[in-house]
Amino acid sequence: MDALMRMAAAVSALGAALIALAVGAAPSALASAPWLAVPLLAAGAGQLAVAVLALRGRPLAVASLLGPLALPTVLWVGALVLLPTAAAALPLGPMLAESALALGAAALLARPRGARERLEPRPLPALLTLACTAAVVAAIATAALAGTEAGRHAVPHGEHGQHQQQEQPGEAPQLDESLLDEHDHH
Amino acid sequence: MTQSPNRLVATIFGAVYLLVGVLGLFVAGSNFAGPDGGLLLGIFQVNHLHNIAHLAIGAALLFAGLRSTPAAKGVNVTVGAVYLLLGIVGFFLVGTALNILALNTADHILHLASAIVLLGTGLALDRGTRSQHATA
Repeated sequence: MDALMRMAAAVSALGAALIALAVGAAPSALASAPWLAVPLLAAGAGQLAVAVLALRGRPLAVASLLGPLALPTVLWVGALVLLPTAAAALPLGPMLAESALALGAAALLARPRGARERLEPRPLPALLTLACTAAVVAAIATAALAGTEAGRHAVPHGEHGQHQQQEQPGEAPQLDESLLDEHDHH
Repeated sequence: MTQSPNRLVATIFGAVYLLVGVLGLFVAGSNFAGPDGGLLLGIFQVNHLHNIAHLAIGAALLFAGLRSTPAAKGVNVTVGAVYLLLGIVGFFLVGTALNILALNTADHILHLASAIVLLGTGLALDRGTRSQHATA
């Protein structure tokens, strides 16, 4: 069970890393505090490394876990308390999702390993755990990414090229009757 | 194959991506490359370049899954890493002329979920494969 939880935690850290990188990769959106991009990008890279090492079953020191996983949340909460203008630059939804995924991963990965813990989980439970956590984390991460500066510029699915299809051939355009009335008066 | 989760995942994902690639050919219309495309299953936006990528990735996964565990493991990690990169980079390309694969939000969710499963399986499972081969 512990090996499966570590796997789920690693996937969660992977999702947190994507969000931290996406928020940090748009310094123009952090106009009031562009320096926030540096620790966010560093934390994102660190979280990616933690996720890969955890998936490979490497034992990780608690300090090396907490650094990258807790840094964005500490930064965000610290900014909220001390620098409200800087905190306003950070998008609320993505930072909430990032904090939830990263702190959840940290809590699971920081647990001490049991003496009888299997280093590699059994195949079938591992695949089921991966599929379930992948579906949840991908949905959360994508929703959070949509709240970043990059996501705001994204075109929702199915809307590409719709401007060309708005006027169907053979259909008369709708006329504004008030304009016709006004025309009759003239 | 049933003994190796990497071979199982590579074979299943390979078959699914090949199927998705073939079905996409029927909905992409005249869109070869660029931000516009047809909707597959009413959700996933694809153009022909996107379909070619699906066919190539599906073929690589299926071939590796049917071949051996080390091959499946290697292809799972590689494709997973590429999809993870596409998941993050693709988001910055949507709505720009650089979005040559006609990626939309549903595509990103699918790519991220695929990346997590492939990367997770490749990195976490069948860890003893190389040492078993070395000692055999």
